[in-house]
Amino acid sequence: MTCYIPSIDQPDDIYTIRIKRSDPEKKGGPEWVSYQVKFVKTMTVMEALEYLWDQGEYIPFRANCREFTCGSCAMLINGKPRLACDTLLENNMSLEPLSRFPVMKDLVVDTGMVKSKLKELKYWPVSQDRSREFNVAQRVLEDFRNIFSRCIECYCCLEACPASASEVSQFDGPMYLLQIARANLHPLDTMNRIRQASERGIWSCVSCFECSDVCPVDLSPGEEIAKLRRQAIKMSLLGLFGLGKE
Amino acid sequence: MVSLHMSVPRKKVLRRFVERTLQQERLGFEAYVWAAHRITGLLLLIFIIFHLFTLSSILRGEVAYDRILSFMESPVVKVGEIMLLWVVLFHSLNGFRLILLNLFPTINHKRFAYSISIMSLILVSLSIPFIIWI
Amino acid sequence: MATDKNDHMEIFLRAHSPGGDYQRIGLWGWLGLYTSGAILLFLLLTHVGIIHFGTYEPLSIKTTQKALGSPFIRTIELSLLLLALIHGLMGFRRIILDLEILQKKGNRWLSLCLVVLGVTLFIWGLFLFNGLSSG
Repeated sequence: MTCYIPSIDQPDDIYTIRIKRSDPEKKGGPEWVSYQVKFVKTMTVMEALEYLWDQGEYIPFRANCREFTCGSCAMLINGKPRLACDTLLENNMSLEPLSRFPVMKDLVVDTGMVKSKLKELKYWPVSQDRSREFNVAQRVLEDFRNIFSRCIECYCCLEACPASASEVSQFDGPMYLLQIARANLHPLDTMNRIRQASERGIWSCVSCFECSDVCPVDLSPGEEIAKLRRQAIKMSLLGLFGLGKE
Repeated sequence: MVSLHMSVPRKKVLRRFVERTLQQERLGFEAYVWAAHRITGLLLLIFIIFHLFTLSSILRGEVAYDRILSFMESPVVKVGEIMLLWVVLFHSLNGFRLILLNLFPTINHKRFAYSISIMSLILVSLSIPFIIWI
Repeated sequence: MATDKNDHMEIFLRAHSPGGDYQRIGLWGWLGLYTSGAILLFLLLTHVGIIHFGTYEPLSIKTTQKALGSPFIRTIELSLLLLALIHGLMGFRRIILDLEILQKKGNRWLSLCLVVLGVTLFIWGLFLFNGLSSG
């Protein structure tokens, strides 16, 4: 379980970590519990949680790759959505589960609805004829490589966005619009993605770029949403005057 | 349409923002800029209506209008004018930044936001003696 | 990506949803805010320039009338009034919609009330304008 590089038996310091623990099956709401953690330099939050497991405190959390590639370990660290394996441990850190999803236990949230939402969006290339020939522009290839394939679906941007906070809004979150933008660029996709994006909240975005701030892989969903807005305005103005590509 | 967060208790944006601020969680810099933009916008809307009210003294005759204008020379109003200048500058420069960001989405927004705010600071500090002098 | 010509019209029609689909602001609301804001930036600068260079101290009814004599200044002031009202009331509407304290019908009523308020304020402003320029 543990993977500390320096030896934990000679710690540099003892740090306190506060975790919001809750069990929906038991009565009583969430409570903050403090733990003491032996700290060595370059220790990450995830290693602190693993240390607690070694001490017999079995706090559930999601983990997989431990190298900020899978996106499983996203949680609110000091109020900001970050990856636990990507964040260095500091004293008096507070850990909470992501607040946009129902909590299963302690730091684990139920993210099943994301899959059904993505199915609803049809974020794969929708096409009648999969065998037709197409040319892919160099810029599209680069965009795919540099932008869209980097998204690890960690849900940090969903957590940080103030405009998608409520249930009633039709804005699901920046990650979904990023996926729509990606499907838009796919050469086999024939669905009108701009119309889909227009209904899905590009106008509710307030351009605060909080999503771009918290993205652990340095993507900028705010930028992609702004690009979608430009395309939608262009198409609407063209449609208004009766022009437009065939 | 199917809503995503069905089991999350319904929280409104403002309430959530206020709660997070009160719990002293560290919100990002950008969220505060967004909130300040909205607040300054509301203040400016109130100012416009108030300005129309003061101008309406013209309907009560020229003497009333002259009286209101001379009241505008008093130092209280001058201080208020400077505060108004700050509010207008913030809202308009942030709005300018938003317009630019939406026209050229690939600008590095953080660097841009900082440079705009520094520019506005220089503008205001240069313009205050200008206004008082002229 | 293949898009139909008909889809352009569809986007145009569907993005124009003031309160119907509970899209908070839609395409035209957003565009209206941004374009009026852009024009206001320019108008604001010229307005401040007019106030400080176009009028003489001490300010009185005479100086205002003299300044408003020029048609250029008149157009600037009138468009400032119009666009400031549009931008301000649309922004106010957006804030209220984003706070989500009203439902669908409430939103439609809000938009209607703001339109009425805007028209009233504009007409009142026109009266004031008349009074200021002719005396």
